[in-house]
Amino acid sequence: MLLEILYRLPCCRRAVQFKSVSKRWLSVISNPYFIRRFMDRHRHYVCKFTHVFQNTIELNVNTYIRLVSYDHNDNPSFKFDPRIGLEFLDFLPVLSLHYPVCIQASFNDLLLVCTQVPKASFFEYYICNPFTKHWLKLPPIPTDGTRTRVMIGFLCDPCICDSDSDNDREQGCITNAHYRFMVVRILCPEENTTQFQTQLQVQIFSSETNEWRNSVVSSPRKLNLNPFMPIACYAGVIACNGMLHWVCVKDKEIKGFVVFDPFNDSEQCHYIHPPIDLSLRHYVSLGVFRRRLRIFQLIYAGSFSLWELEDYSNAGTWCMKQKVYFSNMDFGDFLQRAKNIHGLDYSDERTKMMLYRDMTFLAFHPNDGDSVFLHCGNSVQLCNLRTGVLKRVYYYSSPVRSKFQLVQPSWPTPVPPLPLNAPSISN
Amino acid sequence: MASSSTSVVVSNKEKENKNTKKVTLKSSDGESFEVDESVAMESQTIKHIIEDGCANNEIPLPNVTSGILSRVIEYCKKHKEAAGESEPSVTSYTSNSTTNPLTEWDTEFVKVDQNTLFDLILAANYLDIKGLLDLTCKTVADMMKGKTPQEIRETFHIKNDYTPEEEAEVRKENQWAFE
Repeated sequence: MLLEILYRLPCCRRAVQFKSVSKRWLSVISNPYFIRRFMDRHRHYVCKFTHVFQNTIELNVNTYIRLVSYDHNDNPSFKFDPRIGLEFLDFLPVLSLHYPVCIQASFNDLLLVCTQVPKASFFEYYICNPFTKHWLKLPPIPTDGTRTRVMIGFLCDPCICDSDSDNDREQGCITNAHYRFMVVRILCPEENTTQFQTQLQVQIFSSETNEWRNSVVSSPRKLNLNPFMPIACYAGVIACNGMLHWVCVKDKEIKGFVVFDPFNDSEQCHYIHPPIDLSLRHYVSLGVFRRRLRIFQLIYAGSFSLWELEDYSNAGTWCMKQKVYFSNMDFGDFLQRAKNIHGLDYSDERTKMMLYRDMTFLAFHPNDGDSVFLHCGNSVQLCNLRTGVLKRVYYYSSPVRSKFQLVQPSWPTPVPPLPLNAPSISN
Repeated sequence: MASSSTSVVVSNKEKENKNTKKVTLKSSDGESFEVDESVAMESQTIKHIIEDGCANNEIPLPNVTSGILSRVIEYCKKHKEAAGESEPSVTSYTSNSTTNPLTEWDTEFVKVDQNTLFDLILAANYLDIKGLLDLTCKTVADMMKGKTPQEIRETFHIKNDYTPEEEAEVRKENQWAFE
C-alpha cells in the first residue's frame, strides 16, 4: 500500500527525501518497480532542462562551463557565475585536482566527462548525473598519442524489465532504472579529415562487458563513413534510440545518414536516405525530440525547416514537421534592439538578413515539438517554427565551442544503473 | 432462491426493469448490506465473484468492517449514478478535477480521520475499486507532500529504525533532494 501512495507524490524530490523515514520506506522507494510506476504516473511530466555551454571541445585545464536552466515557462536562470563554472561538476574527484577535463557527451540528465591524468598515457571517463551528484568511473583507455581528434557517442539503452507480473498498463512503460550503455570513440581517420573513408576505427566501452575494445566499422554500401568532414562535423554524432547517427557526405553533398547500432552490430553501419526536400548542399543540424531523430536546416535568407524520422525501415521515412520562410518570421523586439545596440540604420529586411547570418542551431526544445533554440550572435533565441515567432531568451558573451542539453526526466537516472534482479517489494 | 445466472454485462434492459438484481454484502462483523448488483460490480473483486457464479446472492467480505463497507458502498453508489448509462468497467477514473464533476463530493468523502482513510485504502485495494484507490491514495500523498521526513514519522506514527549514522548516510547519498 505504501507504494500505491508514494508513487502518487507530485515530484521525485519529496519521494527521495522520504527514503530517510524508515528502512521499509527506503526499500520501497529504491525499488525499480516503484520507479517504474512513478515514471508511468508522471509520463506527461514537463521536463526541466539545462543548457551547458563549454568553451572547448578538447581536454583543457582552462575548461569552464556556463549553465542555463529553464523553468516550466521557459524562463532562464543562471545558476553559476560563469567565471567559476565547473562547480556544477565539483563532486567529481578529478575536478579538485585540476586535471584537464572536457564534457564530451550528454544523454537526458547524464554527462560524459573525459579527463587525463597529466603525463599519463590513458584517458579516464566518468558518467555522472550532475543533479544527484552520483558518478561512475569507466576503466581507463590508453591513448595512442597520435590521433587526438575524436567524435564521441554516448548511448543509453533502457532495459525492458518484464520480470514483474504487471497488468497491461505497465508494459512498455518508460523507466530509467535499468539501462545498458556504451561509449563510442570514433577516431579521426588521418591528418586529412576530408577523405572518403569506407571504414572507421572505433573504440567502444560497453557496460555489459565492462571493458573497452577496438572495432573496425564498415558499410556494405561502401559509403563514406567519415564524420569529420565539414558538413558531417558540423552536425556531429547524435545518439537516438540506442544508435549513433551522423551525416554521410560525398562531393560536398549530403548523401544520407549513417546509422551505427553497436548494441546489435559493432562492425557494420546502416544507412538512411535524406528527406526528399532537404537541401543537400546546405548544412544541417541533428537532434532528438522525444526519442525521435530530427533534422533542422537553416537556409540563409530562405527558410527554417524541420524533419522527423518516423521509421528506419526502407532506408528511412522522414516527415517534414515544420517549415517557415524567412520573410514570414516575426523577430519581435529583437530587430529593434539589435538596431539600437549596433546603431544600425538599415531597413528591417536588411537587418534581419544580417542577424540571420549569425544564426546557428542550439537544440530542440524538449517539451515543445514546434520550437528550437538558436544562437544568434550574442543571444539565444527561442524560435517557434509553427508561428514564426522569435523570442529572445538571454544574452551571453562567452566563447562557446560545445554545447549540451540536459533534460531531467520525472525520476533522476541512477548512476550506475540499478541491477535487474532487485528484491521484490512487500507492500 | 434464484441462482445468479447473471449475464456479464448489465444491460440497459435490465436497468429499466424495476426489479433490478441485488446482492448482499456481508461485512467482517456480520452486518449485511443489500445493494444493486450494478453498484456492487464497481468492485472488480465482487464482479469476478458474481461472474464466476459463486455469489449465491450473499458475498462475505471478511477483510472489511461494516463501518468501512457502508462508506465504500456510498462511494460506489455515487459514482455509479454519475457514470449514468456506461458500464462500470469503462467509467474513467480520472482524478482530473476539471473533468470530474464529482470532485467536490470526493473531497468531502475523504475528510475522515487517518485510520478510516487507511482502512478505506485497504478496502479499495482488496475490493479492487480503482477510483476509490486512486482517490484515497492521492489524498494521503497530498498530505505527505508538504512534510519533512520527521513530520511524516510523527503524522503517521512510523518508527525510525535507522541509527543516526545510517540516517546520515541515506541523507548524504541523496543530498540533492534535501537541498
